[in-house]
Amino acid sequence: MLKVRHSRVISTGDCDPQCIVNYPHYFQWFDRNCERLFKDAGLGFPKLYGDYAIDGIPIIEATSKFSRPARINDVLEVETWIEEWTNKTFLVKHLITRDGDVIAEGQELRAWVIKDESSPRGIKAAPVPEEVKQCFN
Amino acid sequence: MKIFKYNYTVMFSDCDNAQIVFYPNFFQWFDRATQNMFIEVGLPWNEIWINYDIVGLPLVDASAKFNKPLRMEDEIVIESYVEEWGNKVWTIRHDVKMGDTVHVEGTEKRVWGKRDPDAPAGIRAEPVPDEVRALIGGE
Repeated sequence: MLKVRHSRVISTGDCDPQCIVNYPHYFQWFDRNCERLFKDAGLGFPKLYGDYAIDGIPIIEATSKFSRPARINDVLEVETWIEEWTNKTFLVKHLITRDGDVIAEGQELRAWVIKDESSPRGIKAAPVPEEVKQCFN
Repeated sequence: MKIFKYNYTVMFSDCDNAQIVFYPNFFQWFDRATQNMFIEVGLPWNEIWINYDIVGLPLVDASAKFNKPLRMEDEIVIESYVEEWGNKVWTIRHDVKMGDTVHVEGTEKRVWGKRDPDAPAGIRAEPVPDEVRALIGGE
Protein backbone atom coordinates (compact mmCIF):
# COMPACT_ATOMS: atom_id res chain seq x y z
CA MET A 1 0.00 0.00 0.00
CA LEU A 2 1.40 3.36 -1.01
CA LYS A 3 2.00 5.70 1.90
CA VAL A 4 3.37 9.20 1.96
CA ARG A 5 5.31 10.63 4.90
CA HIS A 6 5.99 14.28 5.38
CA SER A 7 7.63 15.95 8.34
CA ARG A 8 6.99 19.48 9.44
CA VAL A 9 8.38 21.68 12.18
CA ILE A 10 5.75 23.56 14.16
CA SER A 11 6.22 27.29 13.83
CA THR A 12 4.65 30.23 15.62
CA GLY A 13 1.99 30.76 12.97
CA ASP A 14 0.69 27.23 13.57
CA CYS A 15 -0.01 27.93 17.25
CA ASP A 16 -2.74 29.68 19.18
CA PRO A 17 -2.20 32.08 22.11
CA GLN A 18 -1.91 29.10 24.48
CA CYS A 19 1.12 28.00 22.45
CA ILE A 20 -0.38 24.77 21.12
CA VAL A 21 -1.28 24.01 17.52
CA ASN A 22 -4.61 25.54 16.53
CA TYR A 23 -6.60 22.47 15.52
CA PRO A 24 -7.91 23.50 12.07
CA HIS A 25 -4.31 23.42 10.86
CA TYR A 26 -4.33 19.63 11.17
CA PHE A 27 -7.02 19.49 8.51
CA GLN A 28 -4.91 21.66 6.21
CA TRP A 29 -2.04 19.22 6.66
CA PHE A 30 -4.38 16.28 5.96
CA ASP A 31 -5.49 17.95 2.74
CA ARG A 32 -1.93 18.71 1.63
CA ASN A 33 -0.72 15.21 2.37
CA CYS A 34 -3.61 13.77 0.37
CA GLU A 35 -2.45 15.89 -2.57
CA ARG A 36 1.13 14.66 -1.99
CA LEU A 37 -0.09 11.06 -1.95
CA PHE A 38 -1.68 11.47 -5.37
CA LYS A 39 1.50 13.11 -6.65
CA ASP A 40 3.61 10.22 -5.34
CA ALA A 41 1.22 7.81 -7.05
CA GLY A 42 2.04 9.51 -10.34
CA LEU A 43 -1.35 11.22 -10.35
CA GLY A 44 -0.56 14.85 -9.63
CA PHE A 45 -3.65 17.00 -9.72
CA PRO A 46 -2.84 18.67 -13.09
CA LYS A 47 -2.59 15.17 -14.64
CA LEU A 48 -5.77 14.00 -12.90
CA TYR A 49 -7.74 16.98 -14.12
CA GLY A 50 -6.39 16.52 -17.65
CA ASP A 51 -6.35 12.76 -18.16
CA TYR A 52 -9.50 11.83 -16.25
CA ALA A 53 -11.62 14.98 -16.73
CA ILE A 54 -12.28 15.10 -13.03
CA ASP A 55 -13.71 18.16 -11.37
CA GLY A 56 -11.89 17.39 -8.15
CA ILE A 57 -11.95 14.90 -5.30
CA PRO A 58 -14.27 16.84 -3.00
CA ILE A 59 -14.54 16.14 0.68
CA ILE A 60 -17.71 14.49 2.01
CA GLU A 61 -16.71 14.05 5.61
CA ALA A 62 -13.60 14.86 7.67
CA THR A 63 -12.86 13.78 11.21
CA SER A 64 -9.93 13.85 13.56
CA LYS A 65 -9.09 12.72 17.06
CA PHE A 66 -6.56 14.78 18.96
CA SER A 67 -4.56 12.80 21.52
CA ARG A 68 -1.84 15.24 22.59
CA PRO A 69 -1.12 18.90 21.97
CA ALA A 70 1.80 19.89 19.74
CA ARG A 71 3.93 22.94 20.41
CA ILE A 72 6.42 25.22 18.71
CA ASN A 73 9.56 23.49 17.33
CA ASP A 74 7.97 20.04 17.61
CA VAL A 75 8.77 17.89 14.59
CA LEU A 76 5.62 16.13 13.44
CA GLU A 77 5.44 13.24 11.00
CA VAL A 78 2.32 13.16 8.87
CA GLU A 79 1.64 9.76 7.31
CA THR A 80 -1.14 9.31 4.77
CA TRP A 81 -2.63 6.40 2.83
CA ILE A 82 -5.87 5.30 1.24
CA GLU A 83 -7.55 2.88 3.59
CA GLU A 84 -10.53 1.85 1.50
CA TRP A 85 -12.01 2.24 -1.97
CA THR A 86 -15.74 2.08 -2.46
CA ASN A 87 -17.38 2.52 -5.83
CA LYS A 88 -17.42 6.33 -6.06
CA THR A 89 -15.69 7.30 -2.84
CA PHE A 90 -12.49 6.56 -0.97
CA LEU A 91 -11.30 6.89 2.60
CA VAL A 92 -7.99 8.67 3.21
CA LYS A 93 -6.32 8.07 6.58
CA HIS A 94 -3.81 10.32 8.29
CA LEU A 95 -1.60 9.65 11.28
CA ILE A 96 0.36 12.46 12.91
CA THR A 97 3.09 11.48 15.36
CA ARG A 98 5.89 13.11 17.36
CA ASP A 99 8.77 10.79 18.26
CA GLY A 100 6.40 7.87 17.78
CA ASP A 101 3.65 9.28 20.04
CA VAL A 102 0.30 9.77 18.35
CA ILE A 103 -0.74 13.43 18.17
CA ALA A 104 -3.74 13.17 15.84
CA GLU A 105 -5.57 10.54 13.80
CA GLY A 106 -7.64 11.85 10.94
CA GLN A 107 -9.68 10.62 8.06
CA GLU A 108 -11.19 12.15 4.97
CA LEU A 109 -13.98 10.61 2.94
CA ARG A 110 -13.71 11.92 -0.62
CA ALA A 111 -15.61 11.42 -3.84
CA TRP A 112 -14.41 10.95 -7.42
CA VAL A 113 -16.24 13.65 -9.33
CA ILE A 114 -16.11 14.12 -13.10
CA LYS A 115 -17.42 16.73 -15.50
CA ASP A 116 -20.77 15.78 -17.01
CA GLU A 117 -22.50 18.19 -19.39
CA SER A 118 -25.78 16.27 -19.21
CA SER A 119 -26.24 16.61 -15.45
CA PRO A 120 -27.85 19.76 -14.01
CA ARG A 121 -24.77 20.87 -12.09
CA GLY A 122 -22.32 19.89 -14.83
CA ILE A 123 -20.62 17.33 -12.61
CA LYS A 124 -21.36 13.90 -11.17
CA ALA A 125 -19.78 11.34 -8.86
CA ALA A 126 -18.39 8.44 -10.87
CA PRO A 127 -16.71 5.09 -10.17
CA VAL A 128 -12.98 5.43 -9.55
CA PRO A 129 -11.14 3.94 -12.57
CA GLU A 130 -9.36 0.66 -11.77
CA GLU A 131 -6.01 1.94 -13.10
CA VAL A 132 -6.23 4.84 -10.65
CA LYS A 133 -6.71 2.47 -7.73
CA GLN A 134 -3.77 0.35 -8.94
CA CYS A 135 -1.44 3.35 -8.58
CA PHE A 136 -1.89 3.21 -4.79
CA ASN A 137 -0.94 -0.46 -4.33
CA MET B 1 -31.04 24.54 24.86
CA LYS B 2 -29.62 27.81 23.66
CA ILE B 3 -28.69 28.28 19.99
CA PHE B 4 -26.02 30.87 19.20
CA LYS B 5 -25.71 32.49 15.79
CA TYR B 6 -22.56 33.64 14.07
CA ASN B 7 -22.96 35.50 10.76
CA TYR B 8 -20.32 35.51 8.06
CA THR B 9 -19.93 36.40 4.39
CA VAL B 10 -17.68 33.99 2.51
CA MET B 11 -14.63 35.84 1.20
CA PHE B 12 -12.37 35.34 -1.83
CA SER B 13 -9.52 34.08 0.35
CA ASP B 14 -11.71 31.41 1.97
CA CYS B 15 -11.99 29.59 -1.36
CA ASP B 16 -9.72 27.24 -3.29
CA ASN B 17 -9.12 26.82 -6.99
CA ALA B 18 -12.44 24.99 -7.38
CA GLN B 19 -14.09 28.29 -6.34
CA ILE B 20 -15.54 26.69 -3.23
CA VAL B 21 -14.64 27.07 0.44
CA PHE B 22 -11.44 25.17 1.28
CA TYR B 23 -12.72 22.70 3.87
CA PRO B 24 -10.26 23.30 6.76
CA ASN B 25 -11.62 26.84 6.93
CA PHE B 26 -14.90 25.48 8.26
CA PHE B 27 -13.06 24.23 11.33
CA GLN B 28 -11.65 27.69 11.92
CA TRP B 29 -15.19 29.02 11.80
CA PHE B 30 -16.37 26.34 14.23
CA ASP B 31 -13.62 27.40 16.62
CA ARG B 32 -14.66 31.05 16.27
CA ALA B 33 -18.34 30.20 16.70
CA THR B 34 -17.49 28.40 19.94
CA GLN B 35 -15.52 31.38 21.20
CA ASN B 36 -18.45 33.58 20.21
CA MET B 37 -20.80 31.49 22.40
CA PHE B 38 -18.65 32.33 25.40
CA ILE B 39 -18.42 36.01 24.48
CA GLU B 40 -22.20 36.26 24.13
CA VAL B 41 -22.84 34.96 27.64
CA GLY B 42 -20.22 37.19 29.23
CA LEU B 43 -17.45 34.61 29.54
CA PRO B 44 -14.72 35.91 27.20
CA TRP B 45 -11.83 33.48 26.95
CA ASN B 46 -9.15 35.95 28.00
CA GLU B 47 -10.98 36.35 31.31
CA ILE B 48 -12.05 32.78 32.04
CA TRP B 49 -8.57 31.45 31.42
CA ILE B 50 -7.37 33.60 34.30
CA ASN B 51 -10.44 33.40 36.53
CA TYR B 52 -10.65 29.60 36.36
CA ASP B 53 -6.92 28.96 35.94
CA ILE B 54 -7.44 26.92 32.77
CA VAL B 55 -5.17 26.57 29.78
CA GLY B 56 -8.07 26.61 27.38
CA LEU B 57 -10.77 24.36 25.99
CA PRO B 58 -8.71 21.96 23.87
CA LEU B 59 -10.21 19.68 21.27
CA VAL B 60 -10.22 15.91 21.58
CA ASP B 61 -12.21 15.32 18.40
CA ALA B 62 -13.59 17.34 15.49
CA SER B 63 -15.68 16.27 12.54
CA ALA B 64 -17.73 17.69 9.71
CA LYS B 65 -20.08 16.44 7.02
CA PHE B 66 -20.03 18.51 3.86
CA ASN B 67 -23.44 18.40 2.22
CA LYS B 68 -23.20 21.31 -0.22
CA PRO B 69 -20.36 23.63 -1.19
CA LEU B 70 -20.26 27.34 -0.39
CA ARG B 71 -18.82 30.09 -2.56
CA MET B 72 -17.55 33.64 -2.38
CA GLU B 73 -20.20 36.17 -1.26
CA ASP B 74 -22.47 33.50 0.20
CA GLU B 75 -23.99 34.86 3.38
CA ILE B 76 -24.01 32.17 5.99
CA VAL B 77 -25.08 31.68 9.58
CA ILE B 78 -23.37 29.20 11.87
CA GLU B 79 -25.86 27.95 14.45
CA SER B 80 -24.06 26.48 17.45
CA TYR B 81 -25.18 24.76 20.60
CA VAL B 82 -23.96 22.26 23.14
CA GLU B 83 -25.42 18.94 22.09
CA GLU B 84 -24.18 17.00 25.09
CA TRP B 85 -22.47 17.76 28.37
CA GLY B 86 -20.48 14.69 29.27
CA ASN B 87 -18.64 14.40 32.52
CA LYS B 88 -15.41 15.72 31.07
CA VAL B 89 -15.92 15.79 27.30
CA TRP B 90 -18.67 18.02 25.90
CA THR B 91 -19.93 18.17 22.33
CA ILE B 92 -20.71 21.33 20.43
CA ARG B 93 -22.79 21.13 17.31
CA HIS B 94 -22.32 23.65 14.47
CA ASP B 95 -24.76 23.88 11.56
CA VAL B 96 -23.52 26.05 8.71
CA LYS B 97 -26.65 27.34 7.01
CA MET B 98 -27.51 29.51 4.05
CA GLY B 99 -31.21 30.27 4.26
CA ASP B 100 -32.83 27.10 5.54
CA THR B 101 -30.31 24.77 3.92
CA VAL B 102 -27.65 23.15 6.09
CA HIS B 103 -24.48 23.08 4.00
CA VAL B 104 -22.11 21.68 6.61
CA GLU B 105 -22.76 19.83 9.88
CA GLY B 106 -19.89 20.01 12.33
CA THR B 107 -19.10 18.80 15.81
CA GLU B 108 -16.34 19.67 18.20
CA LYS B 109 -15.60 17.63 21.32
CA ARG B 110 -13.74 19.69 23.88
CA VAL B 111 -12.52 19.48 27.44
CA TRP B 112 -12.20 22.04 30.22
CA GLY B 113 -8.41 22.07 30.34
CA LYS B 114 -7.10 22.68 33.83
CA ARG B 115 -3.46 23.59 34.29
CA ASP B 116 -1.59 20.60 35.75
CA PRO B 117 2.21 20.59 36.01
CA ASP B 118 2.11 16.85 36.83
CA ALA B 119 0.11 15.82 33.75
CA PRO B 120 2.03 14.69 30.63
CA ALA B 121 1.10 17.73 28.57
CA GLY B 122 0.45 20.05 31.49
CA ILE B 123 -3.30 19.81 30.91
CA ARG B 124 -5.88 17.89 32.95
CA ALA B 125 -9.50 17.52 31.80
CA GLU B 126 -12.05 18.53 34.45
CA PRO B 127 -15.84 18.84 34.46
CA VAL B 128 -17.11 22.19 33.21
CA PRO B 129 -18.19 24.32 36.21
CA ASP B 130 -21.95 24.33 36.77
CA GLU B 131 -22.35 28.07 36.29
CA VAL B 132 -20.57 27.93 32.92
CA ARG B 133 -22.76 25.03 31.79
CA ALA B 134 -25.86 26.92 32.86
CA LEU B 135 -24.93 30.04 30.88
CA ILE B 136 -23.85 28.24 27.69
CA GLY B 137 -26.65 25.67 27.90
CA GLY B 138 -29.35 28.26 28.45
CA GLU B 139 -30.43 26.44 31.61
